[in-house]
Amino acid sequence: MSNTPFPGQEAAALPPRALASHFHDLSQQKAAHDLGLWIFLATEILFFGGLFAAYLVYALLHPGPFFEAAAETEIVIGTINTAILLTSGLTAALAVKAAGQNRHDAVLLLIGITILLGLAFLAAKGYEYWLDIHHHLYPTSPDFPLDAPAAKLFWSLYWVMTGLHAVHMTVGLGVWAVIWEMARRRSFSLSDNSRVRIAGLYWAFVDLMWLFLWPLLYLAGRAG
Amino acid sequence: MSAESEKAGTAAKDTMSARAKRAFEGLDLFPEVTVFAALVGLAALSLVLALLPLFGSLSLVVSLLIAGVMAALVLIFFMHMRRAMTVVVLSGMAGVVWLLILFGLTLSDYLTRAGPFGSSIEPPPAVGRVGEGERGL
Repeated sequence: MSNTPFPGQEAAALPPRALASHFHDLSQQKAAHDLGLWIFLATEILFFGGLFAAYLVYALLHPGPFFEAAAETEIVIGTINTAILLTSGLTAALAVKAAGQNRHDAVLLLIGITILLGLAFLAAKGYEYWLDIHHHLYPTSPDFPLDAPAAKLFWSLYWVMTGLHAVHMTVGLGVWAVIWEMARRRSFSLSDNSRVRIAGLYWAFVDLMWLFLWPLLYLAGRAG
Repeated sequence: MSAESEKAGTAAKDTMSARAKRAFEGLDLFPEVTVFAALVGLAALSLVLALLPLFGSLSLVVSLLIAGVMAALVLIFFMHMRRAMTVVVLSGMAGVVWLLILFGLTLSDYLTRAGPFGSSIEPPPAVGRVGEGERGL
């Protein structure tokens, strides 16, 4: 009746050597991968943390002009980007889940959507930067529109914080692109290997940082 | 079922949506989709509360509290903290602990300087006061 194999039938061949020689078993290997990435993420918290601390100090010292400057950011683009990132967080989490169940097509599709959403985020961010520059909202601009000196402190932090986040997005997109291509070639076992899970952790972390950047840079200073 | 029993040749030319449908068949989308809906709802709540003049100067604190709840959802469900080993949770939380130490020690300086808030970066009298515009900020 049909030449088409049943779903899953064609994916029987398991790529060799999912288990590295220096681990006893796959669960130990997975644990080591998770622990390693979480130690890295702890350092990343502090990487962003220095900027959060600077924000905290300047917001406390100059609340008035600091939050007036915050009201000048492009809240519409920032909010759209929040929605894009939340959605990409969902597709990444589902990709990790699908990888755990060895669902090759679903993993490719979900990582693909995640990459497209990430690119959409960066495109919107780029357009926003273009608008900001157009409005002279960078601290060294001779036509910087805000008078209070602390406004420049805010805008310095805006560029550094969103810039650092965009760098992380770019790294995450590169990681996803490599994993997508490796998965397409079936060069590693989706369920035995940690690659998709580790990339998902990193992506969720970048998502997490934006969850705090959004209120700090876009929602601050909007009410009345 | 009949769509699936097509010949292999036509299957290769499947439409995107048919392939996508097959790729997701039987993949349990929960709790991820529920968590996503909650995250979007919380983001909308945060946006509305930030635009309304309800909390005055505490508005940002409210936004950040909501962000904290959202972060917890991401950590627990998308970053698998609910199933993670204790040592993994500890190493992740170590980053947060050091962050609080960073904030605490920084503020222990700024909050204990002389004068009211906002004037505490004024230079000491012996150096002489400079005008607001000449500070080079």
